[in-house]
Amino acid sequence: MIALLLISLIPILMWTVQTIQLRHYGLPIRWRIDAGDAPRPVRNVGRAVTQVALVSVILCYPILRGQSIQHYYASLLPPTRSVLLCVHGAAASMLFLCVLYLVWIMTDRLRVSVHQSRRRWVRRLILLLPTAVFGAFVEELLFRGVVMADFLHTDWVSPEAAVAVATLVFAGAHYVRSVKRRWTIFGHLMLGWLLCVAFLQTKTLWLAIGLHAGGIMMIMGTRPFFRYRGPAWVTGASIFPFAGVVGIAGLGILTAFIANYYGGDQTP
Amino acid sequence: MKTKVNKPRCAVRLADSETDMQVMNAYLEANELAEAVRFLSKDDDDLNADVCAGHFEQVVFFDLDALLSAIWKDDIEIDRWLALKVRIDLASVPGTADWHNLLPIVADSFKHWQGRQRRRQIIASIILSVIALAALAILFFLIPPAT
Repeated sequence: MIALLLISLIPILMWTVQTIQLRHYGLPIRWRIDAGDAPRPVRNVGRAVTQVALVSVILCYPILRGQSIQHYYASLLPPTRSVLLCVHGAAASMLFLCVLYLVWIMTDRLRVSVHQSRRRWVRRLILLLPTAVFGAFVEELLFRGVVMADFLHTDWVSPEAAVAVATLVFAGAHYVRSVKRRWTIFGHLMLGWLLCVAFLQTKTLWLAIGLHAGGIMMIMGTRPFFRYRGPAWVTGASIFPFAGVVGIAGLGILTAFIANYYGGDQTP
Repeated sequence: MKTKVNKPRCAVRLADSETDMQVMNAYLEANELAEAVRFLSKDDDDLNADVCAGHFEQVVFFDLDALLSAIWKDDIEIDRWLALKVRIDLASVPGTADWHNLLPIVADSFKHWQGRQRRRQIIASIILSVIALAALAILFFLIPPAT
């Protein structure tokens, strides 16, 4: 339960810092974590505090359990042949998204046109790999390596319950800040379930990191060139192609594949 | 005594080529629209959002093809523009106002746009298929899981 306590401190810290910043600039207090239209320093400080809080939870959790940081994460990220699960995960999520995009192109639900400046999309493509790997690493260390692992370490919580709670925490965390679209929560729940099942089946974070990073790479890499024609509940939208009905069904199939293909001790 | 007339708030959808931009700039100068807010063709959706939000009452496109391309692409909601009575002008007007003669221009624009879209879809499909095949190879042949 330490993990849940630690992670619940993050939004409290985010809101407190936002409030102090807003007061500093003479702006009214907001009850939501929403610095979208606030002055740039408020947004920048908010982002920095969020990142520091996330990393702090990742680093503090093993210490609070009485383990060294290195030893704890080495057990979740063993430098063995299981590292190849990361490549498998990336391949699986890229295959899933490629098939989804091909279906949308064939059914004319996706327009292919460059809708960002050349400088912007070139920069996005150059930064694609580090962005995807960093994002996937941090999120997986936090949601699977800390939150889900903590539940799995608790005797009275079954693995299924650990998957369910970690899925809810993962999905909910994406809506702590004020967001443009809330209907994407079902996609996040399904994505959380997939990543939790991947962790449960392999007992390491490699597969989940690969799945996550592959997904980020495909979505961010295609974003400057694809525009969804909707309806959004079918195709998803923006950076959420997995949040439409078809995407959610596809994630369900991918989860079933992961559960069966990597069941037991099947490191590549 | 001169009466000050409030000019409509104007947006300009810039032309893609250098030559067309020269024609466009000359048009804007001649019509005292040099101060109009400018949008690149990649920002058609931003232009549409601003027009639909009532920020502009007049929009200038380079020619009929530029206007029609934005409509074919679903980037602008022309029905909403018309409902808002947005004035649409062209810097390079077709030589005729007779709709019979406009028909070939519209058909040509649509054909041109369809061809371009088809090419893009083919390229995207090829790239996605290559990635999908590579992923399949990794999953089942190159790095098979231990059994």
